[in-house]
Amino acid sequence: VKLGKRIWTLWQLRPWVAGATLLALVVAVWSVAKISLVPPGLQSRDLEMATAATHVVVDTPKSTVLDLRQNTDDLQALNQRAVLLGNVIANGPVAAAIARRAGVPISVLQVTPPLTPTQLLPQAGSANNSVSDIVKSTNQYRLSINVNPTVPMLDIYAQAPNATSAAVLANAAVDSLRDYLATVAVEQHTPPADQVRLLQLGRAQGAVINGGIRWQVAVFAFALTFALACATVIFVTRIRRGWAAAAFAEQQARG
Amino acid sequence: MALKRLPRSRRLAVIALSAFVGLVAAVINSGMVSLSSPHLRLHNLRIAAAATFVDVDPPASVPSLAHGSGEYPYDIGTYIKRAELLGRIIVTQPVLDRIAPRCAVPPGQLSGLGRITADVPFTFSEPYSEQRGSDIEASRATYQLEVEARPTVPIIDVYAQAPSLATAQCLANTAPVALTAYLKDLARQEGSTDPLVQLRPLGPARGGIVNGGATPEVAFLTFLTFFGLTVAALKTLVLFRRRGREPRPDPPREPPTYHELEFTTSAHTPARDSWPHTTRLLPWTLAVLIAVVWLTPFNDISLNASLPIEIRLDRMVLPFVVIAWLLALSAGGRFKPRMKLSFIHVVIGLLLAAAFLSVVTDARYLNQTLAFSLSLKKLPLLVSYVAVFVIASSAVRRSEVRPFMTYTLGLAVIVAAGMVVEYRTTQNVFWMLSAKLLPGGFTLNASSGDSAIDYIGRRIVRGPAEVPLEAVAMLSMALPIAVVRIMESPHWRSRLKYGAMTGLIVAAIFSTYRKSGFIAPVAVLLTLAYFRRRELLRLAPLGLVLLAMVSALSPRALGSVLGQFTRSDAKNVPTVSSRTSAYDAIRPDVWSHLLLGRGWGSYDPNDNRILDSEILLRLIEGGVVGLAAFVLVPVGVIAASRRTIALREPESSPIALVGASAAVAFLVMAFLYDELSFPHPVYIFFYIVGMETVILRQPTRREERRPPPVFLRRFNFDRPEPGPRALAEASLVPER
Repeated sequence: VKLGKRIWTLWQLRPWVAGATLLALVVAVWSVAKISLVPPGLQSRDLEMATAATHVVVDTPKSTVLDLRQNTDDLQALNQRAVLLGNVIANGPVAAAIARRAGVPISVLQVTPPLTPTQLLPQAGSANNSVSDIVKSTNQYRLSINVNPTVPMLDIYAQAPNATSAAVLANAAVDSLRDYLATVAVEQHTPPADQVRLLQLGRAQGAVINGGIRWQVAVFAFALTFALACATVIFVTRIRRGWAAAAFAEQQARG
Repeated sequence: MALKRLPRSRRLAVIALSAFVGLVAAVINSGMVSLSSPHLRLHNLRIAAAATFVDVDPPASVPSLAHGSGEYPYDIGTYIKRAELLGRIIVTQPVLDRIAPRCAVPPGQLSGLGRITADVPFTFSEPYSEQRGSDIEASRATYQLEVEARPTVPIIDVYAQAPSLATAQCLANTAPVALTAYLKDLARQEGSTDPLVQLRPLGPARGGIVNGGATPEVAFLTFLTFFGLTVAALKTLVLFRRRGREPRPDPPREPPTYHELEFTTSAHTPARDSWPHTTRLLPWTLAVLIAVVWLTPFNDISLNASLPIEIRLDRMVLPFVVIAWLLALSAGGRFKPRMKLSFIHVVIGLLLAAAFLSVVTDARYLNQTLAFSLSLKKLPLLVSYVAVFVIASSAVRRSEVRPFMTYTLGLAVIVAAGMVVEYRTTQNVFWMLSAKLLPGGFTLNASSGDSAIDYIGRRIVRGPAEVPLEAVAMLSMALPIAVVRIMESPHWRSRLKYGAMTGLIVAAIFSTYRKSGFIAPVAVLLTLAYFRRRELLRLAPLGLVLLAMVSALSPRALGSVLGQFTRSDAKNVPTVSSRTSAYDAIRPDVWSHLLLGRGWGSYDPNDNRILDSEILLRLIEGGVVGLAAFVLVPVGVIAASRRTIALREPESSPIALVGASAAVAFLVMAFLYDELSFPHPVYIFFYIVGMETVILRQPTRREERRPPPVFLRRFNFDRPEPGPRALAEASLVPER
């Protein structure tokens, strides 16, 4: 009954509802695009979430995959080296090189180092998770480095606002680490036979995982704004009626 | 109900139009009719799966591992690691690119996924945001390969998924061949002439169709959803139009004043034909169902029978209640359930609509990820919760609500006593008795959560529930019944009686050692304090007695629970950090299905991450619409209760207060654990809300003739002075 009354009230206030619709439309457009008045134009917002992944075997000059003389201990040692290299990616010059290659400021690049079965959570202070994470913008450049718990394989996952950036980011992680290892080898005169090799198993390809997000955001923004605007219209109308009734009562009292 | 008042021709028109809309939606959504060249396609959503197992063996020059333990490095341990490494390589792009053309798979349509099988903590394999995004992208491919290396033998399990069985088998069979080809190419690039590892498939891939009925299932569910939504929309339209035309109904009855109430009630005899003094079957069946819900671990009791669906104890009792309800409905007269649409019906209907719509709109993706069957199992569970609400709200009479609340309190006290015993003796009487008393045809899944401590070292005290948090939620919903009874008790003796019950319930809640055991009761008490601050303050001395009682019944439990909040690493314990890390980790799921979610019940924590929050689950499975619909249920109950609570009518206000408090407990617990995954408190919530709905609606004519129950003749605690209705209406603040 009350819902019917509310709708009836809104029907009586058609001009206001038209205004609410207009406001909701503007907010819907604003939610998916930045509106500029001078010069007039719309600039699309970054709402897409793109992802890319690549996998790297932390290898010896003669590939572990082929060299059957390498035993459990050798594989275990390489596995630990993979964890080390995963941490190298997340810190210092490699992270800076990744940001340069991807064309993003180092301050916006987030790289999560690998966790291990004995280190199940990020180091204290390195990850400040909170409830607000869930509503964070998709306009983030993120890399997550995972290491297989038993074999020397790095899984590199990238997240960015578009497919190209995500792919560039994932590939940049491998290329930058490779460059870093080469530089260190040159500086320390490490013979090629003792160097670690990165065997990348295919270049990363980016893909958007939330196609159609724009109309979803727009519909949601429209519905929410329209509902709030209508509620405000009803609220203001009730205040006006109350005000008028109070004023009338006062007039009556004064005679 | 509105449709029944329509002329027959219009009623038929509404049904026909709804059926047409449902049919069109079903055809489009399931794709069972090809629109390009019209013909029926009953299997277009079919998915086939095939599996093969690949033995990883040393080269031919070395004895096979099957003949004995090989010499280091040709030993089994090394080859188990090699199997893991090679398995991982199968699902990378170079090998997938070699597999796809051999099976005529279009480029970019084949994805791969490797699963961790090593013995590592489960939190290690939970995906974070970036990996989850990648997994979502991989899950959309029409053709999929998944590998698992066995942790104890050098064997790789290869699973393939494709629209046809032949292609699935081809993918599985080609995987080891393509891997060998890749290894040869790699060896050629490196100039290696050493012999390669041997990959021996243990027989050809075998498989079958895994979702034979997918197309008709999607079509049927779509039809059902759109038919229901269209009927509801047309019904609403009819309702509005009729109310616009018809003269305004009479203003609602004034509630009885204090003196009227005293006068009329003293003139009447006690209610007859009211439960428990009735021979009507329906309230008795409902009472049996509620007893089963409170006292048995019903979700772990299943019928030993090979049926398409697993029959749990509640699913055996509930049909009897539904049948009794239908019989009563058809019988009419004094047996007929009284159905009247209320605001609470609407919000629960919205939840149901959002749940069905979320599955229907994402049916193809769910089918692709084989999660559609999960949703099909979870939707009937939601329907059964709603059925309990509908039955409770229509079958129970106003005069029966208070006895039912007393009954519920009694059951809660039994559960609380059992949990205190469990806390002190480590013997769970509910599970023990269930195991002993169950007839042969049933099985009690005793392995379900039977460990004595959880993964962070807290003792497990859970009563009839599956997990301690479930028991906390159950008792938190019963707690307001006891506290409200104290508030309305006229004598100290009865106050002490209900005080003892309250103490027992709180002691049982604390005995679970869960932080939620502090949060939920506090939320309930704050709700009661919001509406009845003055009365609650008067009970402060009783609160001290209650604290002493809790300490005596569950020694050290209170301190232990409070200590979990005050310890220095309170924010870093796994139970907190796993929850906070989930907020970021689920972003890909949320952003990929923002509006309507990925489908009710489709989120499988075994494949993803265990989410200890119903709110997050609703956001993922229902999107913002589903979450809003879910939150609207308890919020709607509170909103619907406010006016009745403020009126302070002795008959209805206490029940409304209980309903609002139970709704707050339900909402608070939704933030603390995956509430709907554990049915005990959900049944109880919908049952209590159903009871409250009976009180909130206007009495029917039969109920008006029926005298109020006996208790109303007694003095009620702090009943307000009689005042004009306008004052009560205008003042929705909790206290005047």
